[in-house]
Amino acid sequence: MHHEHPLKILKYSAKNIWLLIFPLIRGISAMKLDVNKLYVWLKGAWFDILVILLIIVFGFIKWYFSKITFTETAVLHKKGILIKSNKVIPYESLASVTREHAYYLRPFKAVRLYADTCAGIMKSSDMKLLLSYRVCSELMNILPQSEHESKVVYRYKPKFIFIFFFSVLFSSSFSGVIYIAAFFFEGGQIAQDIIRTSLDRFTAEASKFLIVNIPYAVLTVTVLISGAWFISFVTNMVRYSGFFIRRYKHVIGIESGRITPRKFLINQDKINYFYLKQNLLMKIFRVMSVNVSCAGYGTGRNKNYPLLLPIESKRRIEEDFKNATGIKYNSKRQFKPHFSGLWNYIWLAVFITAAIFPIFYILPQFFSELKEAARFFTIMAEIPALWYLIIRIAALITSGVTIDGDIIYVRYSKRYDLYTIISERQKLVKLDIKQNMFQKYISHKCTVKFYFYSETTEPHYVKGIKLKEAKEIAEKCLINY
Amino acid sequence: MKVIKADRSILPVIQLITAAVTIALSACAYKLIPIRIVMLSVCAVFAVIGLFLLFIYLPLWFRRLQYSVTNETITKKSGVFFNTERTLKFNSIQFADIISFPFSKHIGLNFIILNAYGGKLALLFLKEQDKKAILKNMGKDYC
Repeated sequence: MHHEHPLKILKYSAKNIWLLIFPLIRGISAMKLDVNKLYVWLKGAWFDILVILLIIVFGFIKWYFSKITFTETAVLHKKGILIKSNKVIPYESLASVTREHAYYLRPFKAVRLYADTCAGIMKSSDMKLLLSYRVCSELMNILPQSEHESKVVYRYKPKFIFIFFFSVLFSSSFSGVIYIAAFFFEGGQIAQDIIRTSLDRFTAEASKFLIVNIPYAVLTVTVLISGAWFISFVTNMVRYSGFFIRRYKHVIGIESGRITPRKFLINQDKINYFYLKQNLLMKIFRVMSVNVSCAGYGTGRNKNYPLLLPIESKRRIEEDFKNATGIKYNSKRQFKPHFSGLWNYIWLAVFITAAIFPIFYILPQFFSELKEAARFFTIMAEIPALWYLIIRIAALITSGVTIDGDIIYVRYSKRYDLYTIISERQKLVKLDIKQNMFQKYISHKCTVKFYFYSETTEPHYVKGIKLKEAKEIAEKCLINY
Repeated sequence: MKVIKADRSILPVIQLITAAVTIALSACAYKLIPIRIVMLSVCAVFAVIGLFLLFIYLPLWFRRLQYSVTNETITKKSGVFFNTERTLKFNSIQFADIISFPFSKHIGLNFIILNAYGGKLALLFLKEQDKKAILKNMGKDYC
């Protein structure tokens, strides 16, 4: 029987303790070294000090009543003082186990452990523990998922340049903006002033060097988006440096990160499916990233991408995918949409592209001073709209379904990305064939939707397949099940 | 197949709490609502709901709540006006939460939350011996 790491006492103490700690520290720092002044201060602050002590004592009691037991077959976590809760997770149910060595926990020899099964609350770990190194090692020695180094069948460490390109391709301004916003709100007024002043200064300096007279607002937005992307890029570089995978007989072990190393153990039997992800640039350069859908990996708080192979070239994908997963990669499309289904793929992109143009003509009619801004926004909006149109055309050319023995390959496009889902037939939960009125009576085509084991109900769909072929797909996928 | 019924010994306590909450809400309405007719209407609504829960809904709900346990499955039957029957296979359970309140050995304040693929099943108001019997059926990991 073990306890969590003593640092957990701070977590169990009430959140409001921080409201009292800062005035206490401020009071102490304002105090001069004088016994009389100390006495006067204590006389005024004794109640606050008592409350803080009580909060910490209560946190200690909660920590003391939180007990972890490792049996031969399950991990048990008992907690609660009056209302006792006992969580039991058998080892065979575990889909993934994650160990996170945060840099601020390492001096205290503490590690966060997350254990996930295929059940429980989605996007949240089923068991979260803060353990000492000793207790964590003891658990890892007992876990059947923790296989010995001698059972490694495949090792792979991508080169630094692959991690660099992965971070370039998968960094987004959106995630960078989230970081800035979090800093803004969490840091309060000081942070807001710092960010605002820095942005103004940088934009003012940049505009001096530009030959073209770019509007100040445009420059500010450009700087903000570029800055946000750069933050996301640096975060990804730090998070995925040192990426390394080991495939054992039953488990895939993945490590990544140098500042906060994370180690994942994924039970191969509990993997829902693998998927290859490409954006249009990656498609042109014939590279892709290989990812895993498994409970606890790429979900939850740690916000890692569910990576297996960061960047793979088309030339090497067959060999590396087989080595990393044990599944042969089949690049052929057995059932594919016909070119006559083009409108089914591009109608939305065409509509969006066309709908933006009126802004350029209508807005200046009412607000003549906005003519320049209308032109700017029209151009800025048309770029992603046209990009989306190109991707939809690429999706028509690359989409399809292949059934190779017990493995199903589904190739499709969603938003700005192209996906290839690779899963076992037994992991297919549901298959929908949908037709609208036009497809039913005129074109005789349909959309085939695949639902695999997953934490979320997420369909993977291929449009424009002939109905006869869709029925053949259904027969091949579901026969004998 | 073993049929387990919910422990009704906790019912009077729940009824007492319901009555206290109803009285508290009525008192708040009496104090805070200035318009007499509105205040009387609100108090009357709270009273009707409280009496309905106390004497009709809660007793019926406890009477209908039962679990059927076999070696492979557990079935929960519940509901007053809309009956629900849910069956879960033991071999699809991924993990379980076992919750006990103070004095749970004497009153039916034992709960088991079963987490399986695609959902969970909450077993409520179990007697101590029924809780142990269900956990034994689930497997030695849970005993």
